[in-house]
Amino acid sequence: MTGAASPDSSTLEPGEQARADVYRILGALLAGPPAAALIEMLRGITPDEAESGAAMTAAWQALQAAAEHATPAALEDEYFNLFIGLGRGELVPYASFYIHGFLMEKVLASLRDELAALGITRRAGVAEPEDHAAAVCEIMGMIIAGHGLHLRQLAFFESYIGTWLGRFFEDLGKAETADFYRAVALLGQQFLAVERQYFTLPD
Amino acid sequence: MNKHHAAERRRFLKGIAAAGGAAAVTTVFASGLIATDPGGTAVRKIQQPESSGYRETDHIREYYRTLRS
Repeated sequence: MTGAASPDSSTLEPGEQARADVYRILGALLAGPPAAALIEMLRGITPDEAESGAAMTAAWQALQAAAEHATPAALEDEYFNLFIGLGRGELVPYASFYIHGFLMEKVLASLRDELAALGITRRAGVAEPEDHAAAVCEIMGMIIAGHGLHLRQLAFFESYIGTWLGRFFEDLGKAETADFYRAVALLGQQFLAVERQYFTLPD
Repeated sequence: MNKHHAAERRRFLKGIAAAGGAAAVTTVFASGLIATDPGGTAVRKIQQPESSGYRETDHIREYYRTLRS
């Protein structure tokens, strides 16, 4: 299902839509190696001048530049080396690992309870636990696109994103096998900074 | 939500996405890890508190805080 299919998506405020879109793009980039169609789209983006500062604009420009010379085959290798690897990838993109040091830990159990309450499940055939970096980005995008209340968004952000995803993006930006994904890391870091600031604005 | 605050929040978010980014989202979404249930109740459930007269109060904020900790 796409959040865009929700009956109220047309009335979503442009800013909220933009936040949902950024989360979904990050989710798509982290869920698997970007397919040719996504790379092509990223080549065609035109960054706006962001009111929140030049950092977001610069991050989009970097991602666009990275997409220019990216190929699906190279990205498949890069994704494999970063996140899957022989035995283990360079990074372990799970909240449990970042928060507790091990996989399938307490934060995953609590996230699963939360998802059950929301009626959200893993896509059929997906083996990755729900605390994968891509999954939490997708879920946050769905909550926003579903007109989630500010308080609900904040609760999810604080419990499942703010606690670790910034450190993950920092590691991704420094990873030896990262090339294209350095730009993804930069976008993620800058966007999380925007989000943190956004949540401090008065409701 | 206070109208002035809403305007401030809108202004803050202006330009955070890149033009063309939304098209990217619709192109790639099928490749994600997460699906909602077939009835799409996630969206309805998220909205429910507001439509049922839910109001954010310090008491509720505190309750949410205890749930998170």
